[in-house]
Amino acid sequence: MIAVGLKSWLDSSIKSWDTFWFTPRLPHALAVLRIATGLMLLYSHLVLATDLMSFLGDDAWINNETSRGLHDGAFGFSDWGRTYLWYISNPLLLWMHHGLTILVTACFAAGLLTRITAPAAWFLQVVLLHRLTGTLFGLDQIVTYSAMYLMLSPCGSWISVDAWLRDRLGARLQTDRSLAWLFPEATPSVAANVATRLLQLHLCVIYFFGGLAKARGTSWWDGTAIWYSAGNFEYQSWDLTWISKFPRIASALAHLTLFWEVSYIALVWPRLTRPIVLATAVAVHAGIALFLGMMTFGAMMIAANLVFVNPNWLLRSIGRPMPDDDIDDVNEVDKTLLSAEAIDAADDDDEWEDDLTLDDDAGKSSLGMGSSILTDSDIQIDKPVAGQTDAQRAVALEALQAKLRNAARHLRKKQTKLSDRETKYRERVRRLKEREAQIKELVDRHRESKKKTDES
Amino acid sequence: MTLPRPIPLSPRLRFFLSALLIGHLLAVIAPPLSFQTRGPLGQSPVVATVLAPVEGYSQAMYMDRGYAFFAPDPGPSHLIQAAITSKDGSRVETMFPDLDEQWPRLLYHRHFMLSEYLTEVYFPPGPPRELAKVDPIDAENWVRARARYEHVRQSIVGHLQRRYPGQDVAIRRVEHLIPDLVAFQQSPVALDDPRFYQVMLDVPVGTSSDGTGRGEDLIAPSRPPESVPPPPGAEQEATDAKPQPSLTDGAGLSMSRNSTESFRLALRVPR
Repeated sequence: MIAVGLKSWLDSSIKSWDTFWFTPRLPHALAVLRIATGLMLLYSHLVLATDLMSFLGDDAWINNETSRGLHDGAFGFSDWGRTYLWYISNPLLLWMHHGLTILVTACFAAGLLTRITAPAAWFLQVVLLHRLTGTLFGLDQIVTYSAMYLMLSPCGSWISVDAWLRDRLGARLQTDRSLAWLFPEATPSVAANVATRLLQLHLCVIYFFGGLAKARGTSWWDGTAIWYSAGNFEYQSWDLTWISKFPRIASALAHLTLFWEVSYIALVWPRLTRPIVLATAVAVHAGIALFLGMMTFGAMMIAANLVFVNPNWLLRSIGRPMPDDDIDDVNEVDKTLLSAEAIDAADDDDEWEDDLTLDDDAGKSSLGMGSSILTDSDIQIDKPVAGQTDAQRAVALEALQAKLRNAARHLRKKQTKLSDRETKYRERVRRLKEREAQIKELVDRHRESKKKTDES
Repeated sequence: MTLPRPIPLSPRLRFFLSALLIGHLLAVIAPPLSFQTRGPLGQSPVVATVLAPVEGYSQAMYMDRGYAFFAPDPGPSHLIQAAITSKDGSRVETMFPDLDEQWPRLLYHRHFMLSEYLTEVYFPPGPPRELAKVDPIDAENWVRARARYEHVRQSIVGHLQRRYPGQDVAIRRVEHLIPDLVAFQQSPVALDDPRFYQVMLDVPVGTSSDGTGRGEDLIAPSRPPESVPPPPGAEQEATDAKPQPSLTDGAGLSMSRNSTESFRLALRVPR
């Protein structure tokens, strides 16, 4: 018995794992994130270029030798962070390398040859990070992780130069597999899903441990953390010291931040709480961006939260739903209807058995097809029964009236339910018809395309 | 769009991909977990075991982060003050970061992180001779940690010397305290009031500062102290480099001080 239960649980877990990771997903949200990540990386590289020799080379704030020593164990602390930039002292070479980094990153942001430029942009960023030890902060983390996961996906398949080139290439893509890989179509793929899931989970880890770290302090609990953030002159961009006059607001913000960070990992998944969690993310990061002088970090964190936005919703919200978008909806409707039907059926059974069945003394009547609420014995009440007084008869009649009223109430309830179900079915039929028309259109288009290809 | 069912994959491919995903997720989770589970006795043994196989990968991918933003408590800033002295004796003092000098904001923030990093890697001169007798490994690690700080400091000084050729350069670490909330409510004061800036002297732990900054009985003698005089109003605080929970000056100005410095020092002793 236990073994069977265990096997069932294991099978169910494996199925859930497969569904979570290996279900195809549209790449559109990732495409938007690619633009945000690419532009942020580009901006970061351009800003670095304004004072490049202060950060790279032998004369930098942290020179090559020291930077290498911080990683290779020279000072007793060794890690696997490695970069060839430790060995480049020539300013011309460093400038050429940085120029290449900027070029590749610009291509990544624009979605040009994204299959190549995405991993290249990520690699150049990581190489740079291991050289820039001591000057990094949260922005560098989130922008690097975004690039890392985006390179796994066809993030250049939408709003990109690649998408434009794909349209131009047309039929060649059907014969050349390399080209088809290089310029992927914006269709659902497992790669897009894996990238999305990885970034989603990474964000959850960031927030969860960020929250736990805060929970170790006292100021996030006594509510003074917001003041000590606002009162930090070096972080300040807009004067937020007025918040000292509103300790209730300040402490509420501190508590909200703490609880939101710790609970993000759980509440961002259910559809019910996801909008609230994401809206809070936007508010918190916008606050950091506006008041704590980290516009780049705040903006990038908001962009990263995009990964929790359903691509379908994104497309619908900009008025460009996918042609087969409704197919998904139909499936959703199917699921909803099936579950609703199951619930209705269960309710119905209960009702038939518990609610609509009259008492034993009224017989075993039900409201099933062809049945009647009233039994012969009920009807007989109207007729005088031997030995029954008028008073007894009146009581029996009142009891019958109460039963009838009760039954009528249940009938009305049932009618409303049936009416709702009819509406749902009508909606389902409408969507199924639309789906049929779309499929037909797709088949026609495919036939025409094939015909043209054959002719050419 | 999310299709209702996963695509069929061969069991072997599914297993391979799943193993990769689990390994990567472990590398994502283990570093911040390790960061949170460190104590005076070192790392949690079980977390250290979990971290070990993925630590290198995590470091190479720049995922070995703790994500402790503004945590455990938002604390004071740590700045670098540099004094550039010409041969004629005239001296210019600059503070890093400086919004007027570093623009755009991201460049300023990189300088800000650099000044924070110098304090993060700070390790006092030492170790005391007794530690070398009791725990030679700790003493050796102390020497290395101190060497790391001195290399970073010297690299910063070297950069400034090349920026200002032919001039003497000296730097010191300055802590910019945050006014206490209650005191600020009672009497608002500018956040950049000079009284909030406190020089962090480089003195050995457990030895009194005699003005030279040199410990009396150390394995590795410290270098000459960072000899830039503190700004007006900071002299009083500068005489004591030991972390204190709060300081109150004669004018009733209360300054909160985060306990992260003592926490950091405790953590910094490698075992």
